[in-house]
Amino acid sequence: MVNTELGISVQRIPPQNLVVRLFHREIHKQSHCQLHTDRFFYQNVTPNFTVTNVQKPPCFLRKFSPDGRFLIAFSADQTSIEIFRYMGPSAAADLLHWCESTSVLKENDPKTHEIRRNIFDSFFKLKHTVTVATNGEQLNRECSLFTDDGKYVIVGSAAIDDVNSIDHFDMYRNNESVTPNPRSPLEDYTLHIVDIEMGRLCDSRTFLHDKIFLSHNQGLYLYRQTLAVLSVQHQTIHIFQITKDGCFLDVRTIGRVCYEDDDYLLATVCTDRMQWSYQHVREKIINCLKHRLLVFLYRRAETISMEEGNPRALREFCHYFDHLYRLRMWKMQLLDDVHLLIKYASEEVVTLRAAEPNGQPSFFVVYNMISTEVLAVYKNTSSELLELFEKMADFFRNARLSCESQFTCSPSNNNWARLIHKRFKKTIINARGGGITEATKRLLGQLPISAQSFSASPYLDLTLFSYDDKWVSVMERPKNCADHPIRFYGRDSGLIKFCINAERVELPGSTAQSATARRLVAFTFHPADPFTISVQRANADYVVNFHLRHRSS
Amino acid sequence: MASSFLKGLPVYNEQNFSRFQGDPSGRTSYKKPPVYLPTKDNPSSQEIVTEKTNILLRYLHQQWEKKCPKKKRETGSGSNEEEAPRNKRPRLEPGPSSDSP
Repeated sequence: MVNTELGISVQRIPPQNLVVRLFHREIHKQSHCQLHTDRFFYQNVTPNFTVTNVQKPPCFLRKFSPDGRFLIAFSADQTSIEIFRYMGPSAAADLLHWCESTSVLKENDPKTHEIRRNIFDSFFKLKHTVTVATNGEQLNRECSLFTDDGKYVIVGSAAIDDVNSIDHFDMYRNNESVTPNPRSPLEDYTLHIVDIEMGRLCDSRTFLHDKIFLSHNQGLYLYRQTLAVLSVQHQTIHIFQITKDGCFLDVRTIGRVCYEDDDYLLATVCTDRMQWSYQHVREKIINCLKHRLLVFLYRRAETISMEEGNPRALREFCHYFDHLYRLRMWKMQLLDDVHLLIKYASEEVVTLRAAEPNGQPSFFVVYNMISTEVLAVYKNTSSELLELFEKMADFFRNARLSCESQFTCSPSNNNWARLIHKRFKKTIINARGGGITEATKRLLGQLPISAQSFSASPYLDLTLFSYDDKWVSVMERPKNCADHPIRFYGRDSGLIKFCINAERVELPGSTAQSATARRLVAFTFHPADPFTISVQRANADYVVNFHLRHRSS
Repeated sequence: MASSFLKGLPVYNEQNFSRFQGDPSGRTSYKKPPVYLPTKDNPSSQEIVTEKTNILLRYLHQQWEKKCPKKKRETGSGSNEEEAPRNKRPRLEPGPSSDSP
């Protein structure tokens, strides 16, 4: 008799139990390589417990160091850096061991207040307070760069300049300087480099009467030992080398000159260039970097005209020459030690006067600092650049330079991330007013990518867990506050592994906020341990939640 | 020795095994062919190292070589046949762009 039993066939999932997995590891049952097998253990030890509204000392928590040993915070007056030593994921086990709740701390329990008061101190011990900005400047709370070895951190401070006191020739240092306006006033910036272990300030560099976008590390980029700083006001890129003992070493300045001896070379033709009374702002010669860009575009137009047999490309180049000449550097990143990816846009966009900066046309230029050659120029609607970005996203993100194996979740090395990316692209293409060009513009608007803006936490790895990208993602930017706990499902089994409760927290005694007011939450994941900090802003206060591992006994 | 385990097993058709020669005597212990073991270790002149430039920049360099050949302006470049460079020409319009349909 043929078996005609209908039903849903049972789907087999890999073993989920920790002991079974350990046993399988011992007998080498899995066919994956050891590194990948070990990654699956992160599904067993997860930050499933939330302690809400933790009492923390008055400071702004920023980030964990790349080796995970320290937490950097800015002091409440934004002039010092506070370095806390991280005591490990199980540091609060003795405080919580009696707690029977499974996912979130109960509100009306008598011991809750005791936990809230003490948990910060059990996880973080203040090791150093380093006074950094002493001259009236304030540290930017969204700017920090760690060196690859985790020994130093670079922070930036700024103080607004009094417009009336700036000398005209300080404001316009070359013929490409932009005009400051009230939306982007000039400031004095200082970059500081701090030794984390010793807790001391090693070196500083000051930029007077300048405009550098420090927020989210936009105007800075650290690639191994090379630090690039983009000064938008003076249209210059300063390159520094960070030495082993934490000093800034001036390497070169790109903008008006590409080689140091350009002035000398050009002085053979333009004799008043070397005189002390020569004013850079009034010079007629095009700045060297802009010149390289224009020559590249001219040569390309020439090659195309030659190919096509008609001068159309050259004519277009001449037609748009003025617009090209008036382009200004907006953002930049380093692609490796010598190559820069610079984004050019119109002066309106660069001085923050445009209402919709991403809608305006912009150009991406790949420039080699050593040979001073422009390698490629792409418009922000270029499908070729989009393809490069999708296929080699890791080389733009540079998320984990210090490690050999980069387990970052990007569309070019992870199938699930690629799926999310493709879905997003399709949504824009199919939306009203959308299309391929719009999608390209939107996706290329992410370039250049700010340094160190991607988290490498295994709990955000899409191969291990599946979670809704809308509420939390590998990119370290504040996200909307979800109304429900964020669920993380195991990728191989589909079973729910843990939840992160980062819902809106209404503080008692706060004024009645409308429920529709948008609230942002910022996550700080530890690079390896099951520990996360989520920070929300409630009125004037910051509410901090800790998400850690706790199993009720 | 193994032939003693293979004796007497059930079979569909004995004729299928007509060509099989059982363990001929005198060859139960045959030596392995001698293997050459080198006693001197010569480090090879070729060493494998990782390339310093990353793959993205190698690709960009390659494209640049193809598209802007340095000294071959007269012959014209026969290498860029693709239509993609066409839409990379500057098409900058002042004011709001009219790219979207």
